[in-house]
Amino acid sequence: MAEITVYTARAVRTMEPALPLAQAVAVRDGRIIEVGSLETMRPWLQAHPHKIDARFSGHVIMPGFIDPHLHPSMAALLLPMHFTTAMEWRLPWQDVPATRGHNEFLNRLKEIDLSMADAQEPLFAWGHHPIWHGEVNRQILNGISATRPMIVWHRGFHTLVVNDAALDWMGLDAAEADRHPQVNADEGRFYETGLSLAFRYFNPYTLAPKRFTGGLERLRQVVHHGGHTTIGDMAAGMFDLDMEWDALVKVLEQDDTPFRVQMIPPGTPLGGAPKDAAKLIERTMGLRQRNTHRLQFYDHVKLFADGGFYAGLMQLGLPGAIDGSIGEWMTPPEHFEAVARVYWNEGFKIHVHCSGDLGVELALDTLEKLQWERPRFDHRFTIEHFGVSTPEQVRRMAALGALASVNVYYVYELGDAYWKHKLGYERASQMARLGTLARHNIPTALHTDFTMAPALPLNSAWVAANRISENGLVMGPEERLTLDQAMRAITIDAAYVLGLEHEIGTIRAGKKADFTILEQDPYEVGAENLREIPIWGTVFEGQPFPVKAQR
Amino acid sequence: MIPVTVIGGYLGSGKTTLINALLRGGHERRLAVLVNDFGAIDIDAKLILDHDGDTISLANGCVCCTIADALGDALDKVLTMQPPPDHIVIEASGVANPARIAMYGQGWPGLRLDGIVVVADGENVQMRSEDKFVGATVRQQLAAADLLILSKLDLLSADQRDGARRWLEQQAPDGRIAMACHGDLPAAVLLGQTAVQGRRYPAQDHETAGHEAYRTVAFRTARPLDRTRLGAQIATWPSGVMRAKGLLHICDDPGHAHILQLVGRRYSLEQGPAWGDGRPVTEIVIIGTTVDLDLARLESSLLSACL
Repeated sequence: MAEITVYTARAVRTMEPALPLAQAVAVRDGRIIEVGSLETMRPWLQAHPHKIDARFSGHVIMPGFIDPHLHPSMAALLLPMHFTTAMEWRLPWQDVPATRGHNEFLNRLKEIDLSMADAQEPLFAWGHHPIWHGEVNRQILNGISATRPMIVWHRGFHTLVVNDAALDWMGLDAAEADRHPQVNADEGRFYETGLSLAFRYFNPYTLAPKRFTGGLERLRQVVHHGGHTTIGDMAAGMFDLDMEWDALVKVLEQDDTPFRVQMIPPGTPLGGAPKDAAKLIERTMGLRQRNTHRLQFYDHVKLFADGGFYAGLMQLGLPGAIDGSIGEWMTPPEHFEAVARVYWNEGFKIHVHCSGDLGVELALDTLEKLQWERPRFDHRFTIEHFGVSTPEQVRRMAALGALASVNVYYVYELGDAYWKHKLGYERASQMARLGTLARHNIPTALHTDFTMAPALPLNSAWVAANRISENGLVMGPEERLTLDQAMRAITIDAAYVLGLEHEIGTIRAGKKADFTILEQDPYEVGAENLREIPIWGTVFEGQPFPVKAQR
Repeated sequence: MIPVTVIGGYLGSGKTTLINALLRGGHERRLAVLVNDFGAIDIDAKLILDHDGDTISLANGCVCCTIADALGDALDKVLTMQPPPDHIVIEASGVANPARIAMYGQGWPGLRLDGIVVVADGENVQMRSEDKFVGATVRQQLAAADLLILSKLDLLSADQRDGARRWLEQQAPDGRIAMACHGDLPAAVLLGQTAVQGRRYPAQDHETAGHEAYRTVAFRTARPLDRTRLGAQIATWPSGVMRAKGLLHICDDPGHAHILQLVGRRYSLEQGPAWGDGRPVTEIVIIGTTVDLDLARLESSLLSACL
C-alpha cells in the first residue's frame, strides 16, 4: 500500500450535505481515506505512513467536475479547425475572442490566413453566423485568398461556404454542383442535404487518422482545462466504432490523461428497427469486452427521439414554430418504443436525446408504458438536452422517476435567436427549465454536448444560475438554479445521471480521489462570478494534474 | 445520367412490398435499389448471386444495397458498378421527408431525379395523419409526392376504398393517385418507360392483377410544338395519366430534340441531342389508367399544342 497523501486546502467543498466544508482530504491508492481536518483524521495518520501536501493551501478543492454528455469524436473533427465564433471560447491553446460584425469576421479570416505557414493548407473556419457576421459568399472569400482553399462552416453546422480555391481543391465542377437544389455554386454555398456533396470531398481529409487523433489530443486538453475528471461519451461510435475506439484508446488511455470516459453507445444504428432483440443486447453487452482503465462501456445506452436543437429540427407540440417548420424524428416512434422496451426489459439505464416538447412527450409516453408493463425502481431513465418542455411534463417526469441532463447553454446562445425566429419569448425564455426540475426534486445534471456548448462546467453552472443570454438579458429568472443546485448539477447529480454516484461526485471516504482545484470558492464569489473562477487543475485518482503546464 | 426514383411513405405503408416486386424483375432493366435495411426484403434464394453484407446481387441484373447512415456513400458505391444500373430506387425511411431525399437525386453527380412516389396505406393513413407524434410528418410526406400509391386495398371494402381515395385527393390536390395491393403496379408506372424511339403501338394494355387496368399509348407528329401551349395542355390531362416520356420537336429550338419527362404532377422539358440528319419528329409515350387514357382526347390535346 502506498503512503497516504493529505491535501490541505483553504476549503474543501465536499458537496456532501452531512459534511459540506472541510480543510483537508487524505488520499491513498487513488481513493479518499478521510475528509475533515488534520485534527480529525489523526488516527489514520498515526496508523499509516503519510505526507502532508500543502500545495493547495491557498486553493479550494471540489469534487472532480463531470460532464455526462459530450462527443469526443465530433470534437476531434472540429477542434483542428479555426474558431471564428460570435461567442468567446476559452481553449487550452488559445482564448478565442468573440468575433462580431462583418468586417471583423473577414479580418479574422485574413489573420488566420496570414498565420498559416503552408500556403496550400486548407483553411477550415468554424463559427460563422449570419446574425452576427452578415452573409459571406464565394466572391468575398476569394477576396481573402485566391490560392488557399477556404471552407467557412456555420456555427450550427448546417451550411458551409467555400472559395474558388476550395472548389478546385475538392475537384468539384461548379455547374455540376449547382444542379443540387441545396447547393448554390455561384455563392459557393452548400447547405442541409447539399453538405453531403461537400463531405464527399472533405472526408478523406478531415477524417484522416492523423488529423483525427490530433483533434482527439486537443479534446483531451479541452476536457482537462475545463476541470473535468469524468465525461460521458453519449453516442460512442457515432461515426465508425472501430476507427473511433482505436483512436480513443491511443490518445486517451495514457498515464497522463486525467479523466475517465463512460462510453454510452447508441441502442441501435440511427433510426433502425430492433429486428432481433437478443442480438441487439448481445452486441451492446459485448462492447464491454473492450473496456480499459479509463474507457468503460457499461449498462447505459443512448436512444434518439427528435431532431437536433441547434439545427432547428426539434419536434414541437402546439403551437409549433413561428416559421411553421416541422421537425424531424431521428427514430420513428414505433421503433423508438420497441428499442426502448428491449433495453428496459434487460435492465439498462436509458438516455434519450429529446430536443423539443414533443420529443419529451414521446420519451415519457414510452416510459409510462414500460413502467406499466414491467415496473422498475431506480431505473435512471434520463431525458437528455431538454430544450423545450412543459411544466406538466416535468411533473410527469417526477411521477415516472425520470432524470434530466440539460444543455442550459441554449439559453445563452440561442435565447435571443429562438425568441425572435422560432419559439417566441415565452417558450424561448423557458428553454432548459431547470427551476421547475429543481422544484420537483428531479436529479438534474448539466451537460455541454460539446461542441454544442463550451466544455466548461463552471460556465454551464453560471448559465444555469443566472440565465443570462449573450445579449445580457435574463431569460426566465424563475427557471434559474440556486448556486448550490448548479454546483450539484456538475458534480454529484451528474454522477447520479451516469450511475456513478457511489464512486465520484462528492468528497467522502471511500470514493475515488477525483478533485477539481479552484483558485476561488464558488460559494464565496457567488453565482454571478462562477464562470470567472480560475481553475488550477485537477486531481485524478489521487494524482495532481495542473492545467498551466499545457499553455 | 441515371434516373433516381424515391419511394417514400410512413412505416408499414407498403414501400417494401413495392420494392420486392421491382426486385423480382420482369421490367427489362438493371435496378439498383437502396433500402434502409434488408429486414423485410424478400428475394427468392435462387435469384441471389452474391451477398456481401451490404449488397445483394441478383441473377436478373438488379442489386439491392443498404443505406446504413450514409446515403451519399451508398450512391457512390452504386455509381461505380460495372455496368452502371439503368435506374436507381431509393427507399426513404418511414419518417423521412422524401422531398429531402430527392435532393440527392437532383444534385448528386451522375444522377437525375425521376420522381417521388409516396405510398399511403389505405387502411391507416387517415388515422396516422392525425397522430400526435407523426401526423405532421405523414402530411408532409403526402404533400411531397409526384405520384401517390394507395396501397393495401384488399383490406378495404369498396366504400372504404373510395373514401380513402377521396381523402387522399384532398391532401394532394395535384398529385396523381394509383391504386395497388401487394405491389401489383406495372413497373412502367413506378419507373417510367424504358425506351421511346422505335415503339409503334397505338395502345398496349398491361397485364396486371391489380385494381386498375393500365395502358400505354404512343403519339407521333412531325409538327413542331410550342412549349407554353404544351404546359397548358398537360395541366388539363386527366388524373389517370401517371407518366409520359418523349423526344419532342420544339418550335423555338428546331435544331435539338427536347426530352419530356412527366411523373405524376411533375414534368420537365430539357434540351436533348441535336436532331442531326434525321427529320425532327415528336414521339411521346404515355402510361396511365386505361379508363383515363383516351387516345383520341390526348391526341387532340397534343395537337392543339402544336403550331
